[in-house]
Amino acid sequence: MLLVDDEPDILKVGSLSLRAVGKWTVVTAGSGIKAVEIAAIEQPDLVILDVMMPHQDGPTTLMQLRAQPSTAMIPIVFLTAMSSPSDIERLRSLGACGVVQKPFDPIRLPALLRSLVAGLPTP
Amino acid sequence: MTDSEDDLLREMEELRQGFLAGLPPRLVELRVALDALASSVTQGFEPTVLELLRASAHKLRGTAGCYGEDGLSDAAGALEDDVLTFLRADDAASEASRASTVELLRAHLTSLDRLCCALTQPNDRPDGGAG
Repeated sequence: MLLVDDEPDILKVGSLSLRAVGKWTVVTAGSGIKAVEIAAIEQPDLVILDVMMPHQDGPTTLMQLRAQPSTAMIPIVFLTAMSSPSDIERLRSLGACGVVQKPFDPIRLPALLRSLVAGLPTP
Repeated sequence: MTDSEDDLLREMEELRQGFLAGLPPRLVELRVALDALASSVTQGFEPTVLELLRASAHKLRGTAGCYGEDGLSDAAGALEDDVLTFLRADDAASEASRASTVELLRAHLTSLDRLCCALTQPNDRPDGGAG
């Protein structure tokens, strides 16, 4: 899993959840720019992508991942504190598999991701 | 509860303590930004300061919630929402609007300060500091 967020605490809590409960291997990126680089190298099963980040936001990062042949097919789930139905619909329409809202429950996060993305590795 | 969930909760508590230790500097950052807005009520807010305030509140909203600190998350969210409301308001250019926004934001920051004090001084918590 590749978890992308500019907030270090979200990276800590999220990667702990994905590792301890989801039993997945996790790599993290603190920016969208770094995420594009890491995704091409690591080929994660899923990218969990924060929406509001400085310099390069989540939607722009999604476009860049989709534009590269090596990362175009990697499923992407947005992570956001936005809560209005129109915001959520707009994010889905960009081609994400789903949207996880912040704050998330670390114990339930892996199950939520499995419900959004078919075929994720199981422990 | 499974062993992995137990492990998660144990490690989460360690991370939460680190988060709480880092709260005062976060609130100082918000206070500095708000003071900068307060000093520019007559001439107009600097957009970069508004964005700094919004982004800092946004981060605190999401992070506090993930640690189960819902009160802190809600107060930070209210602060972020009021910055966004100001940015979207038709009368955002008026001095009266800027002055009332500063007062609203100050109230949210006061709530955050109180919550921060309660969380970082466990003996004062009504629940005895259980988190």
